[in-house]
Formats: sequence, structure tokens, C-alpha cells
Amino acid sequence: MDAEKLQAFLNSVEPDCGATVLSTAPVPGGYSRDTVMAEVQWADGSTEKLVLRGDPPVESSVFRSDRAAEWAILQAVKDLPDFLIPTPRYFDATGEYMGCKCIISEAIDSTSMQKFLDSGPDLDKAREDFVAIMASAHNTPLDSIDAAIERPSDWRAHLDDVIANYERMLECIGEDDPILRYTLKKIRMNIPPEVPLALVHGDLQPGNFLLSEGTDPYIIDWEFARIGDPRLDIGYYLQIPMPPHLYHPDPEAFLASYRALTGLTEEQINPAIAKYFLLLGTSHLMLDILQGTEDVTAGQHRGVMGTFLMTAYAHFHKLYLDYSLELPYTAEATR
Amino acid sequence: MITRPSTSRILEDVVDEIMRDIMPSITDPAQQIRLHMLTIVLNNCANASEREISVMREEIPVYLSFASDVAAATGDADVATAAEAAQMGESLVLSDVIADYQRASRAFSTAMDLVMDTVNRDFINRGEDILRTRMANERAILSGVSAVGRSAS
Repeated sequence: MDAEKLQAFLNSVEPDCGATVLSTAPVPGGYSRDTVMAEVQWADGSTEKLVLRGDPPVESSVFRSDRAAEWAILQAVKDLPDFLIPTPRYFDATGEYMGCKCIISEAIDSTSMQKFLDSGPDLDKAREDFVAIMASAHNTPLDSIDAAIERPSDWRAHLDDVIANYERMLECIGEDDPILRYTLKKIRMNIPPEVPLALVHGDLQPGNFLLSEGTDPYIIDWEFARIGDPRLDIGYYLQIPMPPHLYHPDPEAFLASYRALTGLTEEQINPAIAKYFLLLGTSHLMLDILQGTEDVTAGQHRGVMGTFLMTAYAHFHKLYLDYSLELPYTAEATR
Repeated sequence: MITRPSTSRILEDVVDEIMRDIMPSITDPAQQIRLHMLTIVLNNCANASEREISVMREEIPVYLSFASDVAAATGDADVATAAEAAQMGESLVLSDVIADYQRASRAFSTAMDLVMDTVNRDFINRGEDILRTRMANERAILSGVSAVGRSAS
């Protein structure tokens, strides 16, 4: 994803716009996708910044997601009134020009909510803002989302599919992780009350909210988005390690705000159920991490992430044990 | 065999060299992050080289004892078979110890599954304590606290 490739791509998709790529620079920090910031000048002399988001080489990456599926989600949500996303502009669906499948979106002059949190704002207010952004995604009417986006047949089938990530993990590593087996068993003993399916982001955290002067916040990084149980996003956020955290200081306040905005009941989402959904909301990442470690074990190279993510493996492992130990042995345990 | 410096000390020294002399010369932020990640991996390897064989050799008899006791108390043939198939060998070669550890872990899990299904509180409490110990040992080697970079994506 360099200037020369972007130039060739723009020449192809915008032949009449006289694009000149002025610069490209990699944006460090993401764990799964390669990101590049580009500046382009158009024939009328105006300049524009674009964000290029592409797949790293398979042999040097761990997390797996489908760029075509992400592009479809972006197309499905780009014009929704409930929240903003940076306008998706182009998609090199085959990698013919960019060297990899690549989504090109407008760049937003903004600061991430995570950076804003680092500046020492009123955290009670920030928590309310965070919950409101989360709820804006979850409240999206599903009939407003393009029918091409896959919908689970029903809530229980969807939940069972997410729970099955643990079976996939155990199959991947040869069934010999007692902590994952214990966690899976406790998950199955504590199936939560059903909630309506919703638009789930899959990586909802302050680092993926962009704050821009004079507009509503933007939500970025939709690669793990799907239609599913919205509590997956809450559970996922619980494990985000970057301080200051907006949930842990006052879970009841966080969830009360969320319930007020979404209409879910206290039976459907409370601190215990939020912890339960940490076990599920991170399972797609843990599955990729374990596949990466198995590939390394088998002698393959998966980039720096293949070995570095052992720390994430240990991090999730501890959370899984701590949280599943808290889950009760319900009557369902004996069924 | 040369024992001084130990493998862990060698790895620590490599990390020291990277951080003192190589890292300051790297100006690309992406490469700085990658190198920092690699030093964390090397530090974890240093920890593991010191302790991983002894940790596994300490845990294996605990798993086998649990599985044997569950088998004796319940008469469950699957648990008994798993425990009998998982006896610890004498080899201290790392790959052999790992194989022993995996078999013992499977035997433990087979027993734990059974006592969870039947809600056998005494065995559950003992099994959960074993899991806590396993986690404490794992954390001692892989701290799991570092989060270099921004997010999963």
C-alpha cells in the first residue's frame, strides 16, 4: 500500500479526476490490519487525506477478518442516521492494485476518544458519551441494514455459534487446556436471558471512536461487525486494558445508562451478565490467537504477533478463569 | 556443558542490548513497536527457560492425583482410563515433559468435567484450586499485562 500503488488505483477508478498522490505514511499501532494515511491532490487543486486499510500478508498476521465483509458492513451503515462513520470511498476487492484487499476511506480531522480520555476529562460525562455512542449502534433498526448482511436465524442459534468458538479453540489446541474446558462448561451452565439481535461492532472501545469538532462522533474499525447479541460489545469492552476505563469504576452507572438508552432490562444486562459476555465477546480474538500459536508450534512464521500475542493469551486466560469461577452452578448444570 | 551465563541471563542480556543500543537508533515508530514487542517475548522466554520444566513437573502429579481420586470416588471408567494413560515419565527433555503435561491436563479435565456435571462440591472446590494454581504459575511466566499498540485492529 504505497504511493505508487495508490496512484495506479486512483488512475483506474477515478480516471477523470486527475489524482496525484502527494504522500503516504504508515499508521502504527493496529494489531490486525495495515493502515496507511495518504494525501491526494485532485485536478482542481484541492487536497484530501485518505485512510488505506489493508490486509497484512497471511504469513505475518494473526487476526483474521474479511475485507469484503467489512466493506459490505460499511456500505450498509454509512448512511444510517444513528451514528457516523468515515465515508468509505473505494475498495480494491482483489488487491490487483494495492497488493492486498484494501478499503480506502476519508480521513477525519479528529482525535480518538482514547486520546481525549488521556487528557483528563470529566470521566462521568465521558462514560455517558461512550454509552450513548455504543447504544446508537445497538439501537440501529435491523430493517434499515442491507439485507445482504448475514442475520442469524434466531438469538439462541447465534449464541450457540459464539459459544462454539470455545469448541473451535479446544479443537485447535488439542483439547488439553483445562481452563478453556472449565470456562466452556460454566458458559453453558449460565445461558443468559434472550435480547433482540442488534448491530454488533465487535471492537467497541474508545480508541475506535473519533471525536471531531462540530460533528457527532465517528465509529471506525468495523472488521468484526455482525448482527448478533449487543451484549458482546459490552463484554468485549470490559477487557480493554487502556486506562482510564469507563466501565470498571462504576458498572452499575454504566449499565443503568445503557439500559435507559436501549430499553434492555436489569435481568438482561447487569454486571454479572456483562462479565459473562466478556467470555463470549473476546472469543473470536482468542480463537485467532490460538490458531497463531499453533501455527508457530508447527514451525510456521506468523510475524511478531504470532509470539507476542502469547501475552494476550495469558491475559484472556486469566480473565476467563476469574470470571468463570464467579459463575454459579445452576440447575442447568445437571441437564 | 556451559552453565554460566544461564539461558535466561543470556536472553535478558540480549534484551538489554536491544533496548540500550539498538532501539534508540530506530526512528520508524512501527518498527520501534515491533522491537518492543519482541523484547517482551524474549523476557517471557527468559522466565520460561528458568521455570517451565519444574512448573510442569510439579503440576502433573497434582492433576493425576485429582483424576485418580475422582475415578476412585465415582467409579467412572473414562476418568480412570485417562488417569492411567497419563503417568509421568522420567525424561526431563522439554518436549517429553510437555507431552506428559498435556496428557495429565486431559486427565484432569476429564475428571473435572465429571464433577461439574454432577455438581460434586468437594471435588469442584479442589479442582478450582488446582486451576487457580495453574493460572498463578502461568502468570509468573507470561505476565500478560503488556498492551503495546492501540487495539485489536
